[in-house]
Amino acid sequence: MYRLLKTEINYFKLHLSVIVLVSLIFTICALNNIKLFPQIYFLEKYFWSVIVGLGIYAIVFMIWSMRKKEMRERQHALLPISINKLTFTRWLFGVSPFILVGFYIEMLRSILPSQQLIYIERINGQLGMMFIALVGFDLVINSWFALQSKRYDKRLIYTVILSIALIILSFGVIYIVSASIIKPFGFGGEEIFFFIWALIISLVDATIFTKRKLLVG
Amino acid sequence: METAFQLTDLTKNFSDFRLGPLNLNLEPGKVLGYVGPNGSGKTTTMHCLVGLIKADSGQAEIFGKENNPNKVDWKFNIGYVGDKHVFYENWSGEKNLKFISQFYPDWSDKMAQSLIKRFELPIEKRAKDLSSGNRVKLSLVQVLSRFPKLLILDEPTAGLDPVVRTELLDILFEVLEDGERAIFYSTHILTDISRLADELAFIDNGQIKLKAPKDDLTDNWKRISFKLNENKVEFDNVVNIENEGNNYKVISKNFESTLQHLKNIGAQNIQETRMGIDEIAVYILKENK
Repeated sequence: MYRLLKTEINYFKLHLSVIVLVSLIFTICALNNIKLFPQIYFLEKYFWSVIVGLGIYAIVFMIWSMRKKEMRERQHALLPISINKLTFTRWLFGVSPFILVGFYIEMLRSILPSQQLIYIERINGQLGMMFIALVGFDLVINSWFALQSKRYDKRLIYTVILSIALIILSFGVIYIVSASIIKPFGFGGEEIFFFIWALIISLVDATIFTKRKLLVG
Repeated sequence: METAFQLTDLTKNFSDFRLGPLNLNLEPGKVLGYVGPNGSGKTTTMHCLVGLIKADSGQAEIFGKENNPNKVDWKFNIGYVGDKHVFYENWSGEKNLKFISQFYPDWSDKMAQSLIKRFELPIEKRAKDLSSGNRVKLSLVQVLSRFPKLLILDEPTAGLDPVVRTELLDILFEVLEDGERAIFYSTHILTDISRLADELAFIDNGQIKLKAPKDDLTDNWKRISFKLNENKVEFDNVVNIENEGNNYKVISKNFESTLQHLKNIGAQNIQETRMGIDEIAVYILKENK
């Protein structure tokens, strides 16, 4: 399990180092109150949430697209590693970038002066939503393969539509719930609920992955 | 007696295809050719065996151990080369071999090096830059360097041009002819396997049509020509009849029985010709349609 995780990190080290680099540049800007768009408040407010949130999502998405293209599940399923260990490794590799960056942002929140919180205001919300989108998409794929066939079936379309509807719906519901529950505690941002929701989906996804009937792709 | 693999009442259903129930086995040290047209279920059978597809019912055992995805001892005994060769594409062949080697205690670098040399494999190239033939070779090195007791080869030469295919098969068979491994080799090109196979199993539309030792097939299936003055004669164990007047050419699936029958009905100038295994396969698969 450890060897497999190490191999994946090693293989995608370039992608992962971009995440570290983006986080580093962001930290320098946030700590030193470096404004990239001092004249345009709107841009300043959303720039980092887009760069960090969407940027990290894009990189993670690239990693998972590459894994899919190279048929990593098939390759790993042939190794003498149990499906449970394989699933755990896959889960850990998938959620780590989001969790680590999310945790890092919360750490920054605790040390940044209040006037500089603008840098991190929306990052975890954005990142959390991207996290949900990614694990949601993976859930759709794994549910399908746990259900059955590699051949075309109408059930695939229904599963995809239902899952997308649930994910979109969940964004709205979660935001309202999180805002009402977390805000009174003055906790570091209701966005954290997106992360919790994404983690729950990822655990369901991991459980479903162990039930997959096809690991050929 | 322990079998290299044993499939018992194995089934797998797709929306437009059903495999099985399959009952198939292979003894250690033997070579079983798995023959059938495209889409007959060869790959699905192998995927069920190696755990890439979960069967709906039935059992698959490798050297007496069920292919349970959470108890993976059985995986040390198998080496699978499929029709798709999966690697870390941006890594060199060498790095891919290093990755695989860490999971197998029996891995031999010496064997790997000898195969690389024998295959003339450009091991320093990235996997994605390797030609189709070299990708097959890299897959074979990955598998053969860890000495699995059961080799499962699923049309490993599919998509290769005839020259590369022949070259690859020559080397492969040279390596495998020591007879120590059980080999389950699927193909729809019978000349690929007829040299090596001890037994042949024919599959069509998800069902095993026949499993028999190769020598039995070549002994039993024969083309017979003869002269017969009678019309409207029914022949025993004959799958194909051609005649021009009194001169007949038939294909028998049980030579001795047909010969006896022909003698009984007064056939003359009986001459037998041996058939190639690829010709026999065509008739076996046709006969069951």
